[in-house]
Amino acid sequence: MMMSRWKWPTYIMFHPLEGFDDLRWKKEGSVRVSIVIIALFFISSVASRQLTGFAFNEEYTKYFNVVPILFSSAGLFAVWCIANWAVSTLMDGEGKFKQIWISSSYALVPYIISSLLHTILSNVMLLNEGIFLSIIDTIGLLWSVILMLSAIKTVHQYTMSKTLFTILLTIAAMVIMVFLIALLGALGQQIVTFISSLYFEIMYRFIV
Amino acid sequence: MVLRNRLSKRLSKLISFTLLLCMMVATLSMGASADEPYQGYTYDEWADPVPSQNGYIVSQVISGKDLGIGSFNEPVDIFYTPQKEFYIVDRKNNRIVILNQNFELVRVMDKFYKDGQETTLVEPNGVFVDENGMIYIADSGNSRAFRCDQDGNIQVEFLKPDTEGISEDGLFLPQKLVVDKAGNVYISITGGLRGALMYDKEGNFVSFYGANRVAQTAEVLMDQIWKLILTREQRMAMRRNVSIEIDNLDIDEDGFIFTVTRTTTQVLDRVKKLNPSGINIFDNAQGNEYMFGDYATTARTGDESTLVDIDIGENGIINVLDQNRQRVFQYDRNANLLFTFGGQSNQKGMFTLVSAIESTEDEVIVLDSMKQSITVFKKTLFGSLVHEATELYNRGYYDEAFEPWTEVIKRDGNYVLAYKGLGNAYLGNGDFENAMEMFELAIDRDAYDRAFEGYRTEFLRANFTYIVLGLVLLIVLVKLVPWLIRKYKKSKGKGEGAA
Repeated sequence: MMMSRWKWPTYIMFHPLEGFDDLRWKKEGSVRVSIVIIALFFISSVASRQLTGFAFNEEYTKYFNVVPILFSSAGLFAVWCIANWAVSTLMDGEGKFKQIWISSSYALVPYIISSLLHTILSNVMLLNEGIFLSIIDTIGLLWSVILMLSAIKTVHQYTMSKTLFTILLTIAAMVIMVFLIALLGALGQQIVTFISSLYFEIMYRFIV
Repeated sequence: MVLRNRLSKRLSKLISFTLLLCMMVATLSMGASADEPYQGYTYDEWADPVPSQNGYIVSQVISGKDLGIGSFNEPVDIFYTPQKEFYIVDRKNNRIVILNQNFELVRVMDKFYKDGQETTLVEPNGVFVDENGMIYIADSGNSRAFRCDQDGNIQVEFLKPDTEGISEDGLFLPQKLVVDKAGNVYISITGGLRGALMYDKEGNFVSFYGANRVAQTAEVLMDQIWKLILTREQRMAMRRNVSIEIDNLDIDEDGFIFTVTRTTTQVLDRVKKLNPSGINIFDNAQGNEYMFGDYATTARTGDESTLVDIDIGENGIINVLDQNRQRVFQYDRNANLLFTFGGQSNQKGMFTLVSAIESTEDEVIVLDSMKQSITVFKKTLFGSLVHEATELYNRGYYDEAFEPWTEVIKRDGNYVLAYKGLGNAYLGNGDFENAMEMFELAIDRDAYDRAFEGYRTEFLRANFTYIVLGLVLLIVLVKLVPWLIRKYKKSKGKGEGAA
């Protein structure tokens, strides 16, 4: 069976078990497709913050800053891939980083679709019809979780229990990474303020 | 080159001129609001303060010397009587000062007669006057409260009741009091953990009234768990979690009693509206969101408002006094914040230690027990517009309130309540689109949803045929176009094969 690389994500969506297997053996995973998916993931996050119907939107919309959204979508995905790669390397996983990245990104598709659907429908729905939106959210999330499990399982050729264990370890590794990044950021900021205050001190003393 | 230079010179001139103009306009508009030492504000949906026009401005500041009776010494309570007089408790001078409507001295009461014998006040704390001109005074230093006539003849004394819930050896210090239409007297006392004391008009103790609840904090829960384990002796030695005493009371026209509690440790029960059976109507546990005083801006404790007095004015307007930032918060009868004014400083209209608040038809009077003065605030035009509009609005006359709300918006485009009012007026008239816009400005999601429901129904009804047509067309296109493409490809393939 030959498919264009753009059809793979939808094929995988409806064939969560053999889909990733096919992808692995036929080496049909495409970085370009995965980047488009991540971009869509980011766009859907922005859209759900800014374009959700007024009655449903509880966000603080007075200010808009795209950087935190970028970090919490694409950034978080990157952290997930790195953490999973690090953990699976120690746990005899067979997957390469590229495979982890591609398979994980394909697994996000249902979540992105549900999130976009939520954003669109919230503009035509009333608050007491909101239950449908939460059903959509739940389905999208569960679907993506199942796909993600299957993706990790196939990429590393794990058993189910090992997959679950690896994912738990991955989440722990993600927490540690985020903590370290925050720590480094804070330290870097301290250094920058230290150097800049030193600079100004010297300037005021000797130059001005 | 020359041309370009000239051009850029012109441009820079133009820019500098525009900038200058902007600055002038800015200073001018600043000057318009800078005549009061405080800047009023309200809170929006996200608990951000939004600057607003002042509803009240200072009209006069009165000291004891102005009245010719010597300086006040800790004025702690003021009451505006049905006879349109002001009764002021001058605590450390042990006297009651009576002023008329125009803040001129009527008389000073410092001598009272009990069974013909003269008696004086010792550090009184509260005063109340009923419709018949009977005066009720909380005479704390003498551990009593009493009712007397206009000449100071004491008729009934309200003494420490012999009941459980009041420690026998502790001091009995009545603080503030209110009297309902039936003549029942409600007295808040120091250490009144079970609420205010309620007496009948003969001076007999009836019951406790309106006790505060104990907030369920993690600490309290821990203590309760410990109590399950510990022995009786250990339990007795434990710190007890008791409710906080009521600090001040007021009663409105309908007989509801309002209480405030000077607590910074819990939000629970800070301001209560009690019905005759002592049930709190301003209860957030019922799914409402009544907020009084400043919203805590940070998690820092000690930053919250310390509410010390409450006053119910005309049309159920609620005035609350905050001793932390020395501010007055004014709410409508449904506890929507209307105005804030006052603040901490030595300027006129600002305070160092506020102690009591009272209001008349168009004035708010605040006592300062450190400055020893009476400050009178007068309602502005903006204030009266807002009051007129809220009163109509709260009675459900949305249409009639439209006009005053528009006037309010003209003067203050940030006034959130006005947009709610306008939105409801539009909604009542079936103008859903405008209603939606107004509710969006007011950030009122539920009201917006109601307007949107109407809008959607109307839209669907008007465009039903087009929508159905559009859907059919869409399906046809989705099904038809790929089929056409396939056919085209096939025929092309055939053509190639033939060639």
